[in-house]
Amino acid sequence: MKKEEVPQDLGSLGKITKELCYATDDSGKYTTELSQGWEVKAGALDVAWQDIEERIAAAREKVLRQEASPLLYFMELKLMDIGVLAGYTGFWKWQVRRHLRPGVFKKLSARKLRRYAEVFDVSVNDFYTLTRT
Amino acid sequence: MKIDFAHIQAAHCENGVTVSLLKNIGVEKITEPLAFGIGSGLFFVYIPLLKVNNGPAFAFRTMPGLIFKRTCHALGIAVRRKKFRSKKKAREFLEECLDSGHVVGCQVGVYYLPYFPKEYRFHFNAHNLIVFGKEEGRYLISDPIMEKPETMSDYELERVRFARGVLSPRGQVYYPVAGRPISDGMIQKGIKNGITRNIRDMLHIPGPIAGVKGIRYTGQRIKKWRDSLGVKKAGLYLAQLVRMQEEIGTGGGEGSVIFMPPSCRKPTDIIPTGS
Repeated sequence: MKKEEVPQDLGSLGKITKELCYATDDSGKYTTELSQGWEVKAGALDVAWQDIEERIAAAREKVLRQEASPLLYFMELKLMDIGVLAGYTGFWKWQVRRHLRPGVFKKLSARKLRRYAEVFDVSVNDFYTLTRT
Repeated sequence: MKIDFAHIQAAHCENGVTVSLLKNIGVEKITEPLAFGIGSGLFFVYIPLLKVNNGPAFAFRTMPGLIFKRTCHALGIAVRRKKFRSKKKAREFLEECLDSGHVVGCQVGVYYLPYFPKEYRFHFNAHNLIVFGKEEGRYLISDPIMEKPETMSDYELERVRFARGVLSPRGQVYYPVAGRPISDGMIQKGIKNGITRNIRDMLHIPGPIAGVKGIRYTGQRIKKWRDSLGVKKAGLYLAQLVRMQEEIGTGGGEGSVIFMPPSCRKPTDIIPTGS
């Protein structure tokens, strides 16, 4: 790729910093050039985020239908999976999986709820209102 | 305290950290492509059954940490590396290092990095950055992805150092210890060994999923995705592949660093001349 051919499509990272790319100069030697972004990358990122938004919406529906506990919604909202959530809360994976059931969630102690709320950066009350921050 | 340190921007975080740390202890000749080559950074593997962020897992590079380790090993530089259980000890060790004038590399999770745009924050734990001092209660951070140095508070740094999930960094810090001077011969030998090891990784790993065979295998699978997974999911998987290759630091600059057309590049451009 020639130096002038380095893509310069302004992406979300481009607004904050430019990326370093390797390209050839006029004499064919390799050198570095800064790029603002590339639309193919931006497109891929958009697809990924769209999927995440859909997952969040689906999780919300599930919670409202009483098929899952609010923890599922917040887990998707923070892009976590059961492993990550278990890591941050200090619960075992099987415990987290259990807490995702609405019946079990209702009986959770205040302490455990606080632990989840801390990890999700929300208040315990948000679990019942499903407010998005 | 602030250590005299020049921020270097790089195409890939681990290369960048390796180059910065080595330059800081007086290895002047190291460059990003050189570190990547000596460390045999290029690799490919596609693991269909393993899922990352709800998509298939690809890797375009060696295991995190290996580029640094191999480059230092080839140049005969000792490495100090430490993981922690206790957050308090992790912080104390970092402060000690800074006090004694060592610039340290840290493995961190991306999700809570304050200066990253929201769109790039995923739970990805193999990012590397350098801490080179502390001013007014904030750590001075040199992240090779960013153009300029950044700062982070105690709490922010602790949170990214103790990110959880796959490959959790557990506060890992590392720095090279300055030893005897590096000769051109050592670099040349390192390059030779690096290439040999890279050939082994790309051509001679048994099974269809790694190296060149892995690339061919992935290509064949991609053709079938549309029928087997449906348009939507196939698109998602493809987006995942692009992101793994170009972003998240797994591949990005690497392909373009290594696979340069030979006609465009004289070996003398990167290999120090002499002997």
